[in-house]
Amino acid sequence: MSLRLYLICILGMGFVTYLPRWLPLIWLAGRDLNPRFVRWLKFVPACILSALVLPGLLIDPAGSLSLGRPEFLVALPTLLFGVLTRSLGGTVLVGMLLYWLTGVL
Amino acid sequence: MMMMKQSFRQSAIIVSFLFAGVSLAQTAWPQFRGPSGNGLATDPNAWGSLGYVAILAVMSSALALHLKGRSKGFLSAFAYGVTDESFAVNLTRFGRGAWTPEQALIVNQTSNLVWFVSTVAGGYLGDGIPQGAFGIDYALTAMFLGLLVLQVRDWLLAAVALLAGLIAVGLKLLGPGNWQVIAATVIAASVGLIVTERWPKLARGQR
Repeated sequence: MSLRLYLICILGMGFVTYLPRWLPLIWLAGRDLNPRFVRWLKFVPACILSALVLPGLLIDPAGSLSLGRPEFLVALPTLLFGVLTRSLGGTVLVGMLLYWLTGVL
Repeated sequence: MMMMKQSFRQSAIIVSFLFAGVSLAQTAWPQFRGPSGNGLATDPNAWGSLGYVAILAVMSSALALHLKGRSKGFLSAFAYGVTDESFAVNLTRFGRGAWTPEQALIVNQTSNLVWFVSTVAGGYLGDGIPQGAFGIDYALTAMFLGLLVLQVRDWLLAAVALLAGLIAVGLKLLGPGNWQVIAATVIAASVGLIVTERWPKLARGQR
């Protein structure tokens, strides 16, 4: 691809990912929303995070389900640490350390 | 109910608008086609990207609850910094209370700036970090785990989040892409809503 096409492509991608973030804010921030829709939205953050992270823990690069991956085994004590301390930075460090240890041992 | 129908209709309009735009670009420039050489409708990668676009729209909708009465200029600047990470941090803070849209905007723009600077730094210095050193490959996963813990405030949220994760795993086993995340989120959040309405006692912890 030429440089010009790259730039158009980057600008286009920027626009396409900006628009879906901008439109809901502009439309929804100013008005009173239906309480059911609001209750539904309250579930969204936990659902998105869980749906983003869990497949990476349980599905190996070949695309099949596996309960023995280090990613998953490390996630259990990492989650426990998070629940007990509710410290984001600490959870990140503990997760990295444990994962590093699984590679070393 | 009226309002909900309206916002669904609006979401449908956004998605079809994006879809039309990308299709147009593909017709005009064949280079915009996916690696498979197909058009958008039959390209799994393109569907994956549309799934991510839908995630962004849902994240912004959830953030909009806390940004009432702000100017269009403020919201436009805010939209620029909506990412998975800033979204999770800000919603956790908003949920606890004592968090203002201005502070959230600072989180958005600061993390964007750090992302930009560290991407450039990584480009120059990345070779100096040995592969897999200090569990760095796990940093992002661990951060999402930490953010997830902060979002789960009661048993119902924990159950609904687990359901979303399991649905996403099930769908990912069927094929590649990003659409599974939004599908799992929509299904699990709807189950959560149904449970709160049928058994209100279970939802006492909900704000």
